[in-house]
Amino acid sequence: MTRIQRYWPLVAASALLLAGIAGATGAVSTHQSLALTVLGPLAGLAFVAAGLVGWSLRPDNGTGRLLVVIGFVFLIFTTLWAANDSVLYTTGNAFGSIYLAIFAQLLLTYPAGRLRTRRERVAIVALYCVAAAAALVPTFFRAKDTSCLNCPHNAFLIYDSKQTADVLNAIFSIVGIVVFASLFVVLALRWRQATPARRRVLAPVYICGGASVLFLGLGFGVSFASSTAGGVFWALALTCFIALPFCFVGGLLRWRVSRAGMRMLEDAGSSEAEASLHRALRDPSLRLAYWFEDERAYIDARGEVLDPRAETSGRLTTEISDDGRPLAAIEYDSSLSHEPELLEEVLAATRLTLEKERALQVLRLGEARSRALLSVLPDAMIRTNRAGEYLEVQGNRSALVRPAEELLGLSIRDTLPPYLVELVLATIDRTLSTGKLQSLEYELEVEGVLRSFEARMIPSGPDEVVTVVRDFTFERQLREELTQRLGELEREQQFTRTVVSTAPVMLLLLDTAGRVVRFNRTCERLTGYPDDETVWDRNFWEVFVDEADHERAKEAIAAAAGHKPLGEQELHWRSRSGEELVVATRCTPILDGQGEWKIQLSGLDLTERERYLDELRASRSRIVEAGDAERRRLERNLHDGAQQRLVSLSLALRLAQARVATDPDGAVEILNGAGAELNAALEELRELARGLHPAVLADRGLEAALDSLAERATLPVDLEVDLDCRLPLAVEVAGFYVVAESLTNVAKYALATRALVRVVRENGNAVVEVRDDGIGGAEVDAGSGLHGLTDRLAVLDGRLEIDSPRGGGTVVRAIIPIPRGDDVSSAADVVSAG
Amino acid sequence: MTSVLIVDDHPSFRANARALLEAEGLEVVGEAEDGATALREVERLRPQVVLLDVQLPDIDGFEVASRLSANGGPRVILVSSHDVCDFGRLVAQSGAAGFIPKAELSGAAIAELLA
Repeated sequence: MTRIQRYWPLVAASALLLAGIAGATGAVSTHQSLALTVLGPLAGLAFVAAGLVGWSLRPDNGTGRLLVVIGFVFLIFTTLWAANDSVLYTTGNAFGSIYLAIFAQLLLTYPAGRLRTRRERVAIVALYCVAAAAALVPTFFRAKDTSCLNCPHNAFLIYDSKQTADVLNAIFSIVGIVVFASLFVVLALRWRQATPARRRVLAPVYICGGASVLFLGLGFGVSFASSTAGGVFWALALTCFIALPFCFVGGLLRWRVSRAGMRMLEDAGSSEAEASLHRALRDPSLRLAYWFEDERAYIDARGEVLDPRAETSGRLTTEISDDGRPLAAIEYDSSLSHEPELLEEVLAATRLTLEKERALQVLRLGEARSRALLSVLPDAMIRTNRAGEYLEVQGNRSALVRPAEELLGLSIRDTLPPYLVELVLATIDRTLSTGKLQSLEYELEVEGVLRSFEARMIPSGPDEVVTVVRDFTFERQLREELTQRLGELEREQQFTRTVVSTAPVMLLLLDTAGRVVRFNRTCERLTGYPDDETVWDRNFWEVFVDEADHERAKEAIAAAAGHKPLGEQELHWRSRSGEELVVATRCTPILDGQGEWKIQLSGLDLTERERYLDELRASRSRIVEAGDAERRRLERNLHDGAQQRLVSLSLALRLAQARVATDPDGAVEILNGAGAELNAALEELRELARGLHPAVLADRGLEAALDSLAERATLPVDLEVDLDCRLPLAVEVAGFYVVAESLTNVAKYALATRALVRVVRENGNAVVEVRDDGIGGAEVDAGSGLHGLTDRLAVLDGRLEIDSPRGGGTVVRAIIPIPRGDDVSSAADVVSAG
Repeated sequence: MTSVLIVDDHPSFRANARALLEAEGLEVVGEAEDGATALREVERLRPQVVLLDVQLPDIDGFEVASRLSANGGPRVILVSSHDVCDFGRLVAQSGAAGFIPKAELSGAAIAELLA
């Protein structure tokens, strides 16, 4: 019971006494209206009663007190207004507006119950002054209220001047209207700025009180013009006035209703706690945030952090803790601070809920631990003596060789296989002799299934042990399967790693922005960049691509990142040492191990291929040029040689023909010369034919052809041919030209005294070697015809080696692979055509 | 008697041609083995006819023929071991009086061209 509640009977009795006096006075009054006689005391009592309730529930709030004061003032003035005595009546009239000022104060201070700003205090003082002066001052100048013929005369009359009284009434009426209009504006502004929660508190009181003030103001304003109209407004104001404390009591009842919401909160789970708080405090903007120890922060259901120290306009935050340990924090509309009891009760309920929740969590944890404990409980417990006789057996059938009851009285020798008997007996001995726990693992067939067991023995007496048996067959199978899977995974990874690192293709992993994540060894080898943090996270094109192709590389990556890869394109890369690489580059989007999109960039180095192709083009060009040159040489030889000789022969024959009659001796001489010319022409034609294709080579083979060459050479040539059978024709032709060209060079440039030609078969190759004792210094590019030989051999995948130190002679060696099968004829055609 | 200068780089042809033409009553006033020598010998010997081989080691026979014809010099007869059809319109454009295959050379053939 609060202190004020102890005085309730006294205050209530006083109020009832005053109400009775007011009623009695009104009943005998010559001028009091019946309405005021009845309603006036009721209104006073209503205010006193509501004020007492408010005062009791909110002792720190002035609202209740003001209501009680208004009630008593109203009861007093109702009595004075009804009095037939002129002094009492005039006093009532002269000060009868005071309660209006008190009422205005009640409205202005509700619900805080106190004036907050200096401006409000000044306004209230002004109100009191106006209320006091408005009725008192005109009273001095009016002898009698003409609208009330039965009213007592004016006891305070100083000078009877109806005109003065009317002017003063008009002035104070206008002032009153202005004052009350200002009050109305202030309240309207306060309503506009109020939060929804506060509006719910203000609404009933404002509506009822506002109407009351409005009607009072209107009655006050029009009373000087029409007492009837004024009376109507007064009656309306009074009605609203009586209803006003009930509005206040209604507000109090709403508090009580919210307690039902709190009970719901106590029953609600944590997921509904916030919603329950919304209902209990009627604040839908309320946030409930739980304390998270890991984050050291309050976090609400939406994952947002609630900082209790943050100051937000119109919001307040309260932390809820349990023995100093933070549980939760609630942020709510600041208007709720005017209902501290409600808030405190709700917070208490919330604390209780959270404590219950925590207890529940502890309980669940305990349950989980119990379950974990149960899962490792043994499958069997066996007590045996040193001899291995079963003394006590408990456990699952699956862990015992026979049902437990059958084992009693038997020995392990009767039930276990011999190898296990020895092992178990030895372990029992060891357990008893050491006194310490011993363990062993074994496999045993139980009910036709081979199972794995782990047994732990501890001494349980001077000559007996307890064996705790656990069946881990399932775990072992899982473990084995896991090991097998891990092995497969490891092999798979190893294979992938090997393939990736050794693939002849450069493989790079990029993120979707084109930054380097990793790349393989081939890329390291070809570009010279290490696969480490000096390259990772850098843009691919900036590291690897020639500046001229940056844009194309970016386009390819962007297209792959957008899942529309462009396909293969040749880009110019640049190695770390600045060497240019031609790389067939392809970007493909792939999902990595974490499920994120990446770009796999594969690059096939075409640089070697390009070089090879260049070499091939040059070689082909040289073959064509060599063919052209050879034809020019043949034409020249024919023209300058055999053709000229035949022309001369023709002329000589005609000359001889002309002279045969006149100068037979001269004709014979000419014919002799012509015969020699003809022989020379024939020899030259033969030589030419040999140059085109040595007939003896096709007919008699390489050795015979080389022998012919050696015979015709201008220097002594030794010939060593070591072949068990004939070579393919294409190889023979190539070998023949190597020797022919080399001997020509020896004759022209080497200044050699002799030469050695050697032909052997080695490792599937024909090796043709021409060695001289000349001055050396031969080079492939010196126009010696060796270039042509290189090309001729390249057609057969052969190669030419030249060792020609200056002053040390020259060795020209051709190594020609001997092809298998008969497909060499076409190659032979190619060679001979060149 | 028609005076002839034989220009050819093959000595055997020059010797046989000289013998043949002289036997047929022409006067061989000189021989030249290349184009430059031919131009000098024409200045010096003033022959009526130059028997000029097409393929010379220095200046092409057609070029030599053009220069001689442009100066209002001797009549030029081109000879070659090739056939005339091998040279297309080069013979006509060179200003030469005509072409005789070497194997068909004779005083009569020269006289026919000069007629």
